[in-house]
Amino acid sequence: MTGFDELTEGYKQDAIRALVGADGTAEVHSTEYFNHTFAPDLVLRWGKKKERYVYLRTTTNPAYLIEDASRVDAASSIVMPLAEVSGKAYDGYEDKRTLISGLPSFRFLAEAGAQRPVVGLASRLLLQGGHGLLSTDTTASFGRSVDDGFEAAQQGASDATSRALHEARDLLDQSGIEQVSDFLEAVWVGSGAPRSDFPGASTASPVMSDDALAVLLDSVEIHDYSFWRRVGSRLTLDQLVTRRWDASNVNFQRLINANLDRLRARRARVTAADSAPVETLRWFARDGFLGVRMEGAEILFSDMAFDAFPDGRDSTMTLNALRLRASRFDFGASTIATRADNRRIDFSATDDSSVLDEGDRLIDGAVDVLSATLRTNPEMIVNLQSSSLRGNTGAKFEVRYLVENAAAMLFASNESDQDRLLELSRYIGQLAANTAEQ
Amino acid sequence: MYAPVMPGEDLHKLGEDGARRAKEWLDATGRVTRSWTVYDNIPTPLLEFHWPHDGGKPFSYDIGGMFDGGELDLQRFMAECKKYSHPNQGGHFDKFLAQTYVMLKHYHYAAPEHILWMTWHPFRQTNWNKLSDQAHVISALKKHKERVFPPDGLGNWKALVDFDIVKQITQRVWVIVLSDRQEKLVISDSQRKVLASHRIDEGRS
Repeated sequence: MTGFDELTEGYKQDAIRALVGADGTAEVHSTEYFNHTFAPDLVLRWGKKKERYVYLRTTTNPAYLIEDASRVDAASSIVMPLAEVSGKAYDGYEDKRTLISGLPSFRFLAEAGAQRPVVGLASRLLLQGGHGLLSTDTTASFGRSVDDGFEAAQQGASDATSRALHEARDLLDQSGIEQVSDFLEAVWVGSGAPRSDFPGASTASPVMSDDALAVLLDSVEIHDYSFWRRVGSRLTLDQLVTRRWDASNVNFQRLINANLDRLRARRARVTAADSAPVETLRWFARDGFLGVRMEGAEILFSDMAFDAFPDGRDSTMTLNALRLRASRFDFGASTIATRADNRRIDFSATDDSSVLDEGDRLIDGAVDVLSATLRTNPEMIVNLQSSSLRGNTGAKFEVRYLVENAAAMLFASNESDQDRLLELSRYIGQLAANTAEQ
Repeated sequence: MYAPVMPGEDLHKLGEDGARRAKEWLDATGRVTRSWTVYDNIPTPLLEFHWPHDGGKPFSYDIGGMFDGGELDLQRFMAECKKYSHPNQGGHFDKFLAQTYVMLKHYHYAAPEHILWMTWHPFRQTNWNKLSDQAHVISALKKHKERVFPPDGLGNWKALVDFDIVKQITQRVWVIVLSDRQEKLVISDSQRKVLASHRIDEGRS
């Protein structure tokens, strides 16, 4: 590589570092161009739907930058001088659809966003849809404004919330404006303030944006379960699992625990894991699954077909063993599939009784039970061979019931472990009951 | 870090505008991928040099960049731009030849394959095809010998001339004459966008 190559590549790498720091969700592609009048230096992509060209500029001459901004596709472009831009010299920049912002602004966003997740949200939205001229001062002001708006929305304070919304309208595209509004409204409502008092136009969207949810979960610890209960009113399982959430994220634990009666999934499976016995529930999201850590295993929840799940362990047990569990955990079954030698025999009750009743002598207690259809509403089918739980057709179950039934049937072979799981089941039930009252 | 050449305010503006227009035209040919000018607000160490003698004053080229495609692929260039509307450029051109000798001789790490004189007005028409031949290079060195050669060698400066460098100058220097109208006679903005978009989609980098 020649000295010229090294110099230009160095500038491009500086820009890439700042952009990735400002928005880690962007994929950055470097072209063969540098400071070219008509071709971009970098291409930013967010999946297949959004793309933005970045034109690096070695000049900070205002007249030249305005002229360059007028030549490119306005909304999908960023003109980025490598040195600072000053706001005063750009009175002639009337169009304002293209974002003109110097490298120092993006460096600032990268550093500030790393320290404050809410500033990180503002930073990503600026990169994805910001427009107009942004000096480092303007950028810093916007980040502070959104952060102050977050604090204010938690208190139901309208002035600072309103200021944040106003600045968003000035600097962001429609999608960005909606995301800021959506986020602040969720915090506002989550804090208990009436939705009608929110100073922005209500998005009335049934769900919060993924980015807004991520910022909320990664922001300051919010202890109030009522807050998470209110936030959870607009969430779906699919939205919760679009990114990875570790069991150490306390906000995520509170969000799930506060909404166990609302979160629903079509399927669940118990898979082996290196996990110690737990005294409480440890929730996580991974690879498109919601999960909870239990005794040496994890339960994964999803609407995806079982093909997408990791393999489950074989929990086949004798009918006698299953009967004992049914008695301890108080569940019944309308149908069981059993195996003896090379025969499979299904038993079903023709009335409301349970085929697991200990008095039933029609079935040899030593046979292996392969699956059971539980007397729940809707009916839940538990496959012990693959440690899987599902309904008939497309039925969805509250996550808490999936956990309770999995705990009852698919874990713990000894009594003391079963005692612990019984306590856990009661805890889940109580948690759901407490939050449902609010 | 060397300080860039700083002419008077008006000349500076003229120079900056000329360099920008020349750069835009080069970009519009589709044969340049990277370039910048000495007027830009970033360090330009590969465009700025010093005379070795007579005070060691700085000199610079207006544009540096890289060609793309064909026989010029990945070859570097530097350009001096003169947005002049008259032919009185001979003296400036001689200085350019002498500077180029110094650059090739003493700053070989920065030496590009092509060194361009870009002007908006022809000059020295009677010697147009010999502007940068050996004789004219030697003549230019003579005019600037106090800057190029050491004081104690000026009495026999010709003996100090590196003819290998002179030969390189004859091979590397081009002259390009533009006009205001010619600057517009390039592929259109929409065509350029298609070309750039295609190159980006190809992922060639």
